[in-house]
Amino acid sequence: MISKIKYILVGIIFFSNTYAEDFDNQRYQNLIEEIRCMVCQNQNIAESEAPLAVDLREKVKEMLLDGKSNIYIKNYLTDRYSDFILYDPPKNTQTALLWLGPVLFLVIITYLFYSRRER
Amino acid sequence: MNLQKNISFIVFAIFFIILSIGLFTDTKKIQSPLINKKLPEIVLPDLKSQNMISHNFLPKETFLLNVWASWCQACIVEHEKIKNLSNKGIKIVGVNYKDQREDAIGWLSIYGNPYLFSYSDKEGRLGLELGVYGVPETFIIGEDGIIKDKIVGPITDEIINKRIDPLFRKNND
Repeated sequence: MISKIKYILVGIIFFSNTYAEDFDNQRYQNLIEEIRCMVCQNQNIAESEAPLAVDLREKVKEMLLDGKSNIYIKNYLTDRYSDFILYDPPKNTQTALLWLGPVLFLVIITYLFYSRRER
Repeated sequence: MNLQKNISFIVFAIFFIILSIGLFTDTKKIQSPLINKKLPEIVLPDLKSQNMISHNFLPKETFLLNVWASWCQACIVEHEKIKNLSNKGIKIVGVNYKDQREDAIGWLSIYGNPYLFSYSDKEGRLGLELGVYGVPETFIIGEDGIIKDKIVGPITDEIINKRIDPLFRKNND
């Protein structure tokens, strides 16, 4: 019984240490996977070891520790590197067709498919 | 049946056109979002003296801000053009990017130093502020401190004719 408690205590201490820093690692990982490495343009900065990718990861980490929001961080990057630095294109009226395109395409193809079958 | 065939073809054709345009778009030619924004205040030391450079030392006329490094092959090629521009009377300030001071100073003594001075951006922090990703990069800064243009990659004669000279011609009139 006492040894079980000891194990549980050790477990709690161990896991509380990994979350002790005020740093949301999951959020950091998600963010850096959405940012393009501008040097090797087909890699995100999580994957790339180019010096710029290293610098960008550092900067993102800094801003997270500084309490900045995801939107702030993304704007910081697009203000300097253009929208292209993010893998997701911006969501505005100009890109509406880009975002809705695949859905529209699917609808059209489905329509064509089913109207053929009725014969 | 014919109508459906036509619709299918049109949908295919639209996608073909869109994807072809994408295929031939050079993603390295994206315009910098910094154009028409003010040059951020630079707080960095001078490469040679290592003293902090006051904002007052920047030229009050249109000038070039050239990002270079001793490890950058293309910078060697570009440097002749940079020296030519300097000889024509154009003021050029350098940003030594993510470099070692000794290597950088050595590089200048080998290839020539046309710069008024060079900032030492050892950590690349100024580079981040300026959206630098492909050294060499050159910014054309207006007399009002506004970034007029950003050139990614080495300066060529074509770039000089089309993008640099026009912005400096006004000063000579």
